[in-house]
Amino acid sequence: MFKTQMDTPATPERVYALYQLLRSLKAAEVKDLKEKMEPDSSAATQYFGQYSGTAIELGLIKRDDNNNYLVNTEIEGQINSLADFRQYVNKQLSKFDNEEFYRITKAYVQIYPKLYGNEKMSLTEESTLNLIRKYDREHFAAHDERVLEKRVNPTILAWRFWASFLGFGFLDDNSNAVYLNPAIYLQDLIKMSDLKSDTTYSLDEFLNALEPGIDLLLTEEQKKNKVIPFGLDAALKTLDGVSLELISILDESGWHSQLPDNMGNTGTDISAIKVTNKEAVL
Amino acid sequence: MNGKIAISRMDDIMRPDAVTLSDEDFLVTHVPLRKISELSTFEYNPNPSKFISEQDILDTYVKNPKNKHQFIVVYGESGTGKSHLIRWLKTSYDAIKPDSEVVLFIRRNDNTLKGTILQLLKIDEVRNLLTEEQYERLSEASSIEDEAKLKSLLLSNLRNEIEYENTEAPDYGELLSRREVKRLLAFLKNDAVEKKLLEDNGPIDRIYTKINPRSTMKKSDSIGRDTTAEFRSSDFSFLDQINTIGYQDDEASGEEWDITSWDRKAAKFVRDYENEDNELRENLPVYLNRFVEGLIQRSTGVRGEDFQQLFLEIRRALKKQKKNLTLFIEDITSFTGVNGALLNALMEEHTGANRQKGQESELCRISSFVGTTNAYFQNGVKDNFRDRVSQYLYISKDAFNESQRYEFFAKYLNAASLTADKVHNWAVSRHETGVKLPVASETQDEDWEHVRIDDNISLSLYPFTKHSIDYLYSNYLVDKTPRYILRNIMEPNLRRILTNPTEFPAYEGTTEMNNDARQLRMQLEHQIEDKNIVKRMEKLLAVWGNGKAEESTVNGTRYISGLNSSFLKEIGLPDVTFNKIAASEPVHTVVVPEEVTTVEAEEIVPSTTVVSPFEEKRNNLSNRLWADWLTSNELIRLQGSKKEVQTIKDQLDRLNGLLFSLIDWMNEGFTCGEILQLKTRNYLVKLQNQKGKGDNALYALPKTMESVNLLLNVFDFTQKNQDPTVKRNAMFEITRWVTRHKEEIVSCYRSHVQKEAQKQTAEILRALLVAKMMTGEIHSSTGLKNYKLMDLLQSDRNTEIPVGHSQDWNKLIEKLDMAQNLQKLELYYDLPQGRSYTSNARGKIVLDYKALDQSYKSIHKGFLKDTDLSSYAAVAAKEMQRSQAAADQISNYLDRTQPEEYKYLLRVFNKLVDTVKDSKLNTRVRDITLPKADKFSQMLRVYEKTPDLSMEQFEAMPPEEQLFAAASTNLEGLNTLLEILKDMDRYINQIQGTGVLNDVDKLQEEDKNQSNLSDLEEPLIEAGNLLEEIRYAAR
Repeated sequence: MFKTQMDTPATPERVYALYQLLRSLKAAEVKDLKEKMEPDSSAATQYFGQYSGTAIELGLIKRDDNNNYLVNTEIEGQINSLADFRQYVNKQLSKFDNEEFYRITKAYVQIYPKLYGNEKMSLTEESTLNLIRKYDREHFAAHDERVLEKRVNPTILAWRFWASFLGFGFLDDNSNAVYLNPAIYLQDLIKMSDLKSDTTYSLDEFLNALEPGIDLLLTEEQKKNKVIPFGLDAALKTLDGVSLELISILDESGWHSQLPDNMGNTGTDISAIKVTNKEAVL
Repeated sequence: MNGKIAISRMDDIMRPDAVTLSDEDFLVTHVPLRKISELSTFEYNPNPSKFISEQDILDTYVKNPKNKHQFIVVYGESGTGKSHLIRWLKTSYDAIKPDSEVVLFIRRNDNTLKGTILQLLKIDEVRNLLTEEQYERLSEASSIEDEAKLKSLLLSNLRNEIEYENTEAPDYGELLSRREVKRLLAFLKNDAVEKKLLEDNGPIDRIYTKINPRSTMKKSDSIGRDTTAEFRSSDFSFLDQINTIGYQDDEASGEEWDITSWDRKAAKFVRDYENEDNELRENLPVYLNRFVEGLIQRSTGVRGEDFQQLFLEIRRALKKQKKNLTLFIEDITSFTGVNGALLNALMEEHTGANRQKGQESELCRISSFVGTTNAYFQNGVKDNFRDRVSQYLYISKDAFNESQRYEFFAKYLNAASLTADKVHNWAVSRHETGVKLPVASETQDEDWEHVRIDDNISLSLYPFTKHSIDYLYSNYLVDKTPRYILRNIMEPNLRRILTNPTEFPAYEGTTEMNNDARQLRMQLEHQIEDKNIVKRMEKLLAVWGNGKAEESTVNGTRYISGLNSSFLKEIGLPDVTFNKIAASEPVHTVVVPEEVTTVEAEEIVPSTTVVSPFEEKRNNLSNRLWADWLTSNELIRLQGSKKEVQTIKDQLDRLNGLLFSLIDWMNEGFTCGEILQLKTRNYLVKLQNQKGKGDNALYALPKTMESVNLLLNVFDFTQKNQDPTVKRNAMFEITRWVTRHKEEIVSCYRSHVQKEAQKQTAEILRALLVAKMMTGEIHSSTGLKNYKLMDLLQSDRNTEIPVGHSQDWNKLIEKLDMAQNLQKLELYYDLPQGRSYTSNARGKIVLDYKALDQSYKSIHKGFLKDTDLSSYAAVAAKEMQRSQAAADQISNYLDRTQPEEYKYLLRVFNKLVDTVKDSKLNTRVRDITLPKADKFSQMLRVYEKTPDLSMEQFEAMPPEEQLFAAASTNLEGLNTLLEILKDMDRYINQIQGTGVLNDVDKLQEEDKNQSNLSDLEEPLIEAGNLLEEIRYAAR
């Protein structure tokens, strides 16, 4: 899923449910787990391999030589809720920075504002897929022999569930679009960082403290030009007044932002950020 | 508030009944009723549009300038202020009446006939007018003490009255037939019925309490004094429990309610009553109420004529003194039992058509003001009296509007802080020019909320706030009348602040859970460890304060949720810090500082100095309805076809559609079953104060510009051909709002849908477990306890109905719908790929096994305790009874005096089976004879396996064991065997006669020699034919 190619049946909820089941059993045979989660053995398709494979990739569980599954005892106690699970996965993402999920996410974040010019915003629209392909070609394919090009279509279907789960945006069933607002992802990064509550940082300091996870939302060029791209802008403006306080000083240190702030004002530069509540829950 | 005075005066002032206050206290707390209307005829529930003031009533009716005969009825529902009005009229008239007018005021006091008689006997003038005999009768009536004796006398007199009427009267009305009355009499004589009718709060008790005050009347009883002495249909609702499920109220006396042992007529009465086509149910209370008045007179010895004569005497005596009479009767029910006679005396005019010309009446003019409830007047006063009423004055239930409610509170609270002397001095001089209501002015009240009443007087509401009055009135008070305001709100809170301020407020209700409240609770829990203090603080800030987690500083005073922070300190609450509202922001404080005390609370207009883009948008709102919603406290009704209403509805619909989709409910921890529950709702959010479609949503969008902005953005986003940048920004604003408020919305629904889904899961699992017990998949040897979730999931999904049971049994299993229920169960705990939550739109099931197992374990654990197996056990008992009956009959056949024949036949059949099996015999023999014989021996085995249980033993088993036992029977098999045996019995002689048995006997000798089998062909065919015949007969 994250390491290998993405498969639609490996949804976040299934991976999480498998992990929690195995946790309660400590260890179990494949057959036993499979029977429990997919009791209708007569069904032609079997999904177990796909979501158990993802759980292995993420280091939640492992398989021993006797084909038994065991939980990873090193992380025992860390994941007790879906929110914990989300944070755990978000922490791992940059490990897979050349894989399908990472590449599509990065592309989607960058091409997203352009989708509004399209007739439809559906993920499977050719216009959407072409924008992603183009971005991937220009930014990843050059360094990697593996070709995402043809796989974008099936991959994006698996990606949407995880993108929504990991807090990059909202999946709309009706239009099959993901509306980008990575506030929850950004808040997870803040929570996992060394940033401190009640402390004010310059925007550069703030973003540096969120490396490497922040790279999914920001390109080198944007950093250089001090332009806050749409996704990061949306996330910051959403967290303003919740866990952060965006500070605008009329000097050259400001990063340019576009979206309306809490009072509806647009186009205000952001110079500094005060972390008001690092642990805020969204 | 002057605590010292208030503590001693509180008991004088806070009295729920107007009549129990002293005249001075009554006047100082009096708030004029504004919703009194004049009606010429009696209407139970009028809807008047014109109102008359108390002063107008005084001038027009009480002063009676034309000196007319008047009989005026003041009516309204219990507690609306009838007594208040009558007392105010009386007290006001006392001060201005001419000398020629005598005023009599009959208070309700304990509202019993005895109390009324005592009042009358205490008036010297009245006493002197009575004859010795009348006086004795009345004083005797007023001295009845023994409750049990009087109650039993009432019931026995009721029977006598009925009996008398039924025998003597030629026409006893069309309510009950003569036969029905006879049955009723037998019914009323039944001991169990008598006991029931004499119970507390029963009909006889109600009649009793109108005659005699209870010696141990509780304080709460005095509140509901407007009880009527009458029979109600609910008095007989206990009859519905007889016969059908047995009378269960009183197990110890259960046998008393076995109506088969009752007198035949009494039992017939119960059956008549239970017959829904019969009008008896409706007519019975009406029929009985006809006797109440006579019953009271007979049981107390008071005669109606005595009262009539007494009042006529009073009028005669006054006439002689050239005086007239104004009579105020607070409540006509004080005369229960004699009110017909009383009304006769009061309604008799001193002038009129019945007087001969030139002949002067010997009676004085009388002007009567009589209070009554709508219900009593409708049912207790006969039509002919109603026609003679000169005027009706109706007091509406909502006689107090919002500002009068504040005034009501303020006046009572003010009075509590005034000494009795001060009030007295005011009362005597109140008619003089320039004398104003005295005001208790205490420093602690200066910063508190005030209300302004007439004469430019400002009164403090301490310790209440307008918000608390509104909140408690709307959300807490069930009976919204002055009497209950005093008893349930004012008195307990005043007492609490005076005697135990660190426990203030005295409010045990809950607070409304809206967004503000959630925010408030969260912040309080964050700052205060002690849960009890959080609870108390939450109540105070939400009910007394504005309910918002915010603080502000106005003129150096700090307000927390709109409440002065020093007040919180005063009542022992800790300091908390909330988001500060900047001076430029609107301050929605419920506290009106002194300089604005003259402003009506509802007129507070938020002031803003900085105009943000949002504010600008608001100022330009093209939709007037939005602007109204933001600024007004009125409900917003999304009804009608106006364009602006349609636009808002459309925006709300679109928002709800988006929210259902955008919130990833599985990521929020909802199971599929819970999401399906959630989807049964059409709306997740509504507007605050919204009425109309969608108002059952649990999340209310607060009246903020943020909410309006959200809806405008939803509109912008969903508009066709929208500019891409507008669309993009609109969606950003929507996602910002959803991210910030998602948790609030989700938590509104979480426990609600969880509860519903758990209920459904429990129902499904229980049905499945019962079905598995009935099909024998769970049986007594494996035990219910050992039946695990995996057994259920791996059980045969297409389990057919087991063979051998009755139709009743099979139907019950079918009803439990195993396949469908198992599918539903899996659906509820499925982890679908995407958002297809319904079965027809999804692929393979992948279970959240752990969650399902948790539910299974908890339901399985409590299964026997929580599942009502009685209806299943009843079918099991029937099944068992039938099986046992068949087995008993079989046993009889087998144990007959000639068992040898049966045994022989069995041997023959067994032989046939053994011999013919595997042989190469004629197929005709094999195909016909063998199955029949085989069936016989199979059924015999069924019989042998049938549990040997007597019905007594069976009934003594717990219901689950009963199910197991019944499941193990094979009624059909036993019946087949029984039929075969019956036929065997019939054919036994034939068998012997045919010589077949001899032929078959030969088998025993020949069976070792397979080669000779062909010789047996004919006899075997014969035996087969015979068995065929037996089978045919058995069918």
